[in-house]
Amino acid sequence: MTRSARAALKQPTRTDKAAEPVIDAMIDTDKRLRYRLIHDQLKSAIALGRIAPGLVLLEGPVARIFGTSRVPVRKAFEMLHADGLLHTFEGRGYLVAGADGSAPEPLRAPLSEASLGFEQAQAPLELPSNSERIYHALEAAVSIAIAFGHYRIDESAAATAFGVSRSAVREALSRLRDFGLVEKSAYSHWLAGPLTARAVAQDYELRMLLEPAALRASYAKLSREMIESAFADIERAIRDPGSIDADGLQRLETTLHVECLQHASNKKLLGTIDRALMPLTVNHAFFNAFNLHPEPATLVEHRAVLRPLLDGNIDAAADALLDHLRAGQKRTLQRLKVLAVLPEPDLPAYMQRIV
Amino acid sequence: MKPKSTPSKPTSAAVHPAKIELRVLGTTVTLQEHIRKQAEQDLGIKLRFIIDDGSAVQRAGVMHPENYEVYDQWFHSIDCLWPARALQPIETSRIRRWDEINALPRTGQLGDHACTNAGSVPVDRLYVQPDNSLARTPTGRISMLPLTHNADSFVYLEDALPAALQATPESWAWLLSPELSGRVALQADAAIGAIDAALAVEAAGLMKFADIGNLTIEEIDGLIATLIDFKRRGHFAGFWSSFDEAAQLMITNKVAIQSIWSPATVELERAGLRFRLASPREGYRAWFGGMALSRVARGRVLDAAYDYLNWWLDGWAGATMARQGFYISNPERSRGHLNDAEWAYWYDGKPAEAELPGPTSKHLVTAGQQRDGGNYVARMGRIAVWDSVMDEHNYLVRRWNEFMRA
Repeated sequence: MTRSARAALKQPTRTDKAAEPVIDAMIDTDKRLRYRLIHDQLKSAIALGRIAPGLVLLEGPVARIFGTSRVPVRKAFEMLHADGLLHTFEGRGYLVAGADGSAPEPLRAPLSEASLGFEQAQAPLELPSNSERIYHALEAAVSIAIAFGHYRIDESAAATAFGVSRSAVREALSRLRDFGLVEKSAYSHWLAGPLTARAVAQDYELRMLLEPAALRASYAKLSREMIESAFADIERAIRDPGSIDADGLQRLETTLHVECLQHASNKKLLGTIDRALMPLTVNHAFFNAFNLHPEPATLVEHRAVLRPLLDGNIDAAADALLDHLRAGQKRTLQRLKVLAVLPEPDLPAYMQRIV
Repeated sequence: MKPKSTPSKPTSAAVHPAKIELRVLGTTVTLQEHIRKQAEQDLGIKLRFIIDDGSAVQRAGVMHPENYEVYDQWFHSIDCLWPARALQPIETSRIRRWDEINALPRTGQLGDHACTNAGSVPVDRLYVQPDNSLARTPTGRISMLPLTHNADSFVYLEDALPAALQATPESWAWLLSPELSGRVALQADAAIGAIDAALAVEAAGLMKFADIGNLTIEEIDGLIATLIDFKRRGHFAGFWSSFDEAAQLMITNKVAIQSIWSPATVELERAGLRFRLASPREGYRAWFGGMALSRVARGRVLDAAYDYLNWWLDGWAGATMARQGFYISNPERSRGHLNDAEWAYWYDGKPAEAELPGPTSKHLVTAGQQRDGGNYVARMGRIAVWDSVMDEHNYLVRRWNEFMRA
């Protein structure tokens, strides 16, 4: 669930750039050993004191951040443990060692690019496998394109562009289809867009129905530390909205709309929410295009959900989440209109406009 | 801001230590050289006009608020500018004649009857609410100062009108009349042109729209398919982006009927064409223009921007707008700058008692001539729809561009 949600949330961070350089960078990245890169990245972050001592590192979330499977993460953890930079403890995962190598009290906080000490949110290594690279490149191109019209994705042109087989492209496109970003027509073309106000409104309607329910279902398993940390983050953001860029806002959104819901046991429910996160594409394209900071209303609405969660008042929290989604729908529909003034971007040749 | 004792009295440049340059972004509708010169003289500032077509101005307005202080365009485009936070609110306490502005933009009513709610109604995006959204509940801050406005329709050459149509009331359907095929033009801007086209398609009985100011995806698809069909049959002779282009299309005899903006009719008069500006039975498409402030304007240049906004309400600008067929939001103030015959012709819709001047020319309207459509209330009171940025505007613009390319 989080994997896909993160993927959906991440794509817009690249929408402010032309798709081609992203793809070039991915193809240029040589096949380095992934566990080695994860190890090196974490090691330097710990050594520089950029990761809080005691932070509990779990394979799953870290793998998601790096965009890999768990296997290289496990291997990297073992190496860091051997280095004395991670400690085992009576719980799942590893603790980040203190500066003096001690084993601090466990600190359970949501894992994010920021909590892992990356300087830039999009830093998650350009190390994914071929299929990951293709997936992310396609996702980036598609999420830019859909705001501008209706496109056909040419499988063989994409295969040529990436230097891979058509089946590799097909696999990546199938994954994008699972998240509603592309569809396949009866004539077996891959189609994307156009992003319409109706689609955005329908996604919000679904989320208004499902997210409060998911929050109720997830609530019992949410750790107090996680909520406190989320609350502290939002308070900080409200005090200084200018410090929150598009990526920072994306992290706040992930905390509220993904992490707070993720313990719901009904995975179909979470999967459906996942496929309704397209509006976030609009918002990220928007915040990136205009280099904006979040408006206070959004942040205050987040706090209105988190505060009752801290107080154990799940009814108030679920109501506030509904209010936030309702207001978010209105804002997102307004932003979609603004995208109409943007010039049509240069897209990779495999994205073919349907006229 | 330096308060001035009388509205139009030139302010000495010596009031400011150095001349401030004010940059105004907008279209040819209001950014005219004789206005620029007059304002420079009256305000003692340097005024730079950045002129482009409607969509280019919106794009520049949204993306580069650092390149202008004053955004001069139409209320419907606020839907693009405001969410992008390109603008800062205007304090009505700094607009000296705010209370003179008439009810239409401030309450959505004209006299005692409410106007249409179809399209992007200006008052619904006028007042800045405490949460920074826009609505019609009055506050002390506004998104855009309402100024120039008009009720638009289409113009046709009387001699070219087929006999079959001569006996029927003027209708938007005429734009799609088969007898006029090949001699029709529309405007190219999606937010305006698509509404003219939708009015025509509906009036011709080809489609029925639930809300013509807010088309659904299926309605947009249907509209565009219909228009492309007409275009492929050679129905349209051209598409225009500025009123100069519109005027030229008719003066060069390329078109016999087209949607129009008022200043183009001034050009048609000058060229001696026999034409009529229609008062379609379905009603007009209306627009409200105004000025807004870039979010980055600060200090003296912001003061100068307020001075410029205030200057527009002092009467002179309203009068020069009237001579092009446009209305100003505080018409009484411009009355002092028009003679009685001009006022009677432009605002009251009465036959010209004498020859009347144009904005920069001595002779525009010949004695006896009468404005089509009647007086201010008759024209602004018959609005079918306001220019609109619809919910599916992004989709409409992309599809409209397809029609333009087809």
